[in-house]
Amino acid sequence: MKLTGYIRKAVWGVTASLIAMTASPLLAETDYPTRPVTILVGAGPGGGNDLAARLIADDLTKTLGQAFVVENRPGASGARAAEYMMTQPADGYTLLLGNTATQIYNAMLLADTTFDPDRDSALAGMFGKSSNVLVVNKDLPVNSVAELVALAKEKPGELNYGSAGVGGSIHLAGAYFTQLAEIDAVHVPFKSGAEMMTDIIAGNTDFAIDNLATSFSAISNGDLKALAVTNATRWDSLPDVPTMAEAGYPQLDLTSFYSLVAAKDTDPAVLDKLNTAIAAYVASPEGAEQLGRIGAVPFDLSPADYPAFITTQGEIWRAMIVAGGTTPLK
Amino acid sequence: MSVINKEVGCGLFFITVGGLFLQQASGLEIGSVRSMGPGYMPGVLSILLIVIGLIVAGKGIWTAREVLPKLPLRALIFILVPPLLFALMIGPFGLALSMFVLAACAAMADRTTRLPQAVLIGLIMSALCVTLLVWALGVPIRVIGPALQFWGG
Amino acid sequence: MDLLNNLGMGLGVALLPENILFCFLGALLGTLVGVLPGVGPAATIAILLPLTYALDPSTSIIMLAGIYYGAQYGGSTTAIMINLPGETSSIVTAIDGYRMARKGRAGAALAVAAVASLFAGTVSTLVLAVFAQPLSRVALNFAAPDYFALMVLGMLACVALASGSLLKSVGMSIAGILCGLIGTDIYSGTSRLTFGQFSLYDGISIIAIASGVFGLAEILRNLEGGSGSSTTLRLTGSLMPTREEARRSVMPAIRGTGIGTVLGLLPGGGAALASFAAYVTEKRISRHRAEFGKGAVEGVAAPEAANNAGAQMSFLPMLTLGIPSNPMMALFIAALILQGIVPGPRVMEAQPQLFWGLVASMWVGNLMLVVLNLPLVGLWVRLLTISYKYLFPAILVFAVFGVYATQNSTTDLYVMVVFGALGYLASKLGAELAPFILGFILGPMLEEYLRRSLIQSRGDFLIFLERPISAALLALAVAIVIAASLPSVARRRNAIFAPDP
Repeated sequence: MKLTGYIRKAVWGVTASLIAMTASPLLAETDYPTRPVTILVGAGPGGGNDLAARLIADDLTKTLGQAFVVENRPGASGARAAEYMMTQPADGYTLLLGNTATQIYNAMLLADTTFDPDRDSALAGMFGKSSNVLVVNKDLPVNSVAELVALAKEKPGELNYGSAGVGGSIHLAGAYFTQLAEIDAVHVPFKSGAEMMTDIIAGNTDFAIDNLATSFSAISNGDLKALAVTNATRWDSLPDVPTMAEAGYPQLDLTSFYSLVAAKDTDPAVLDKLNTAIAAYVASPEGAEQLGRIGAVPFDLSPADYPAFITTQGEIWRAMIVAGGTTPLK
Repeated sequence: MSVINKEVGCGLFFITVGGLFLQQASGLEIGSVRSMGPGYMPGVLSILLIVIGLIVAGKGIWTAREVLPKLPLRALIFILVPPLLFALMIGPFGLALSMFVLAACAAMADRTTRLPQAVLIGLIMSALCVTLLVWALGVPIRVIGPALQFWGG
Repeated sequence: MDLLNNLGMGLGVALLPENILFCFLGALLGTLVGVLPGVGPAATIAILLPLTYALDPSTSIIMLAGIYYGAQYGGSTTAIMINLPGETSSIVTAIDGYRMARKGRAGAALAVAAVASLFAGTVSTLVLAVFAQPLSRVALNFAAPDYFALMVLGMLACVALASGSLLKSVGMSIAGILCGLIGTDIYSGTSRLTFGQFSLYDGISIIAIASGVFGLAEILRNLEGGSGSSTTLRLTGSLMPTREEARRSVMPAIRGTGIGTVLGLLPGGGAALASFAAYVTEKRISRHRAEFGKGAVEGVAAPEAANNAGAQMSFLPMLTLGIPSNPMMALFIAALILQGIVPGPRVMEAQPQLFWGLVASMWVGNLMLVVLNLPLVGLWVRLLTISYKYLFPAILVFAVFGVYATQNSTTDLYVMVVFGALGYLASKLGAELAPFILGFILGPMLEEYLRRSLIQSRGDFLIFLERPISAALLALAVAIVIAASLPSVARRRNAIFAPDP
């Protein structure tokens, strides 16, 4: 960080002032941002969420002329970062990387989180989404979801499915799948997605509905077989893999997303300005290319369509949580 | 005082730690050896720790050894309290002031340090942290917290 | 000759001017973030990731790798100088390295650490060059029961780590395991042992604990007299290791390298075990075992070598299987994917420049670190001779900033203070801290692998005997226990643990 930090700050400073000089007349409604903006990430450095935050932070730094700085506050699947945002002034200078956890299921699962996404946050902009994918060990004698279900019915209680922790998206999707397909498989939790993937490659665990970003490399190497993606449509980088809906499980329409959210009472002009900048990133070829590198695609969703999207996904999550053996709190 | 020697102290230490964890582990599902619940390992281990504590303390009572060491109260207070102050202050007041308080108070742990010296140490440490770590290195910590915003803008 | 071809190609890549430059930049940056508090290598790499698109893939990976091992190096420096292990990997080094420094041999300790690391780096580079292909899938042969058996062996080593009372060491390691279990249980999702603190749901940070039981407790010990001036350090002898110190470091460095090379291949906790295993081995077989814990040079050379060898070997499962052995390796996978390179068995054939360039650059980078740091040893050591009265507030500031800034967490500060107090108390009561830390690191893994084995075997304990690897490791563990409990051996063991005449 030291040297490059310096250089980067200098470069940003210069570009920022140039941009500010040329662009300021167009954006006269609010002078936001006049000082650096913090983007809170509820995960440690290096994961998909962190990288997504850094991509959008870099872009906003260039287009809005102030440094957007990523601050990692890991803990309780993002709940700690979200709660921290509540303690900060609602001025748009503390944003949160909003994802499925912070915006949908933490409130349903964590009894002691004080952050309620509907009550406490407002969308600044949606920018990326990714899919989950049903993967199996390459030596498992199945090549489709139907064959996997048939195998599991033939050997009830013998197959294992992995997850990166109880109550996480991989576990809940797996549990929901076993419920929908009426199969009896044993859940094996792991500490991280990478550990789970290793165990599936080694053949000790049989299948999982993993995050695409984690298992993409193993799929393209042939170490894992991908049977279906949970996205509503086929995924560009895996064109031969059917969707869960095609495989007969339309209920498993699962989208994990990346967004920036601000505190609820933030000035609408500030949200508007952020939204315009984020929408421009989503529409740009660089945005598509950069998001592609972290296993995501641009997600163009207007603030007007956001509540409906959250409601639909919320219903799916509620069903998954029930399948996972708990009662949603909300 | 003669009964509480170093060995007995250590035994009591283990018993206390084991007891605290046992209390925390109570109420967790224990499960069985074949299918352990979240409380299995903590329960077994804290009981084991208590047993070890009893043995250590028991041996200590019969074989009198070194007496319990005296605790350096001044050092304990001036080293352990300032980090807690820092933790409480960093949010509202920011790094500059919290660091000053931390370093100046800590410096007083040494009984030969005079107040002006401590203040100077506090100022230097605070200045170093702000310039070197935050400004030069770019660690994202607020230098002047919201409670002092009327100063820093 | 594949070996020569591969190494030749690697050196060709590593020695390109821009790669040398970025390797140097990475190593320098890494050393800085390793020494300075508050920015870990993980955060540094994460911040730099988006900037590396612009670079050639091999160049960017070479630079990021430089940060990784540079930071480990810097972490050892603070561990030796002020008993603050900045990285998990340097915790073991702190035990004897810091004692050496207190004896006025800080320069020697730093130099031995540097040279042992370079040696280990050289050997593991050669091992990678010769055996990369056959070793690349070793990790896949290790399933949960095998890791469990490995951890059992490691925990037995815990007992061997003790130099004082055996019973107290067992007690401390159990306390360590219990602290390690704090947080969310991955098998049930319930939070446990959190003492009602929401912020402990994700467990407690190892850096906060280590800063407490090593850093804070040490300051307290030094201030017992009431004034720090009396504990001001005086240097003895030359800055560099004496002939005797150098001679005593050779075999430990070689054994440490061997241990690190093997364990580094096992991403599920092998690398974490490497420095402990190397330390314990030396303590068992050294003729100077009475000096361990009091500043034995072997206790610096062996874990440092093991560390570095392990760190380099862990690149192999990362590159060829896409399996990260620690959060840092996960970042490398992210970096590769950002560059459009998919880690996997074909990386070696599809991206030979990248693979061999990285291997060769690790060696170049290690050499640079030594060249970069040996001249600094004099400076570091002189800093230590400042009156302790002025030094200790700085060390405390260092610890507090480092613990707070890495995760922006005040909870970590409370944890540090609590464990500083407990650590001080325990050491006053004659209980050792090393078994506590080892228990803290290995305990949770032990439980995790035990329970996963039983889930996958549906509760059948025979799984530990059916798998050859776990059966062999457990047999070894049983042999150690039996040997230790036989009366004659027990007597000899007592002789081992008691300070030698």
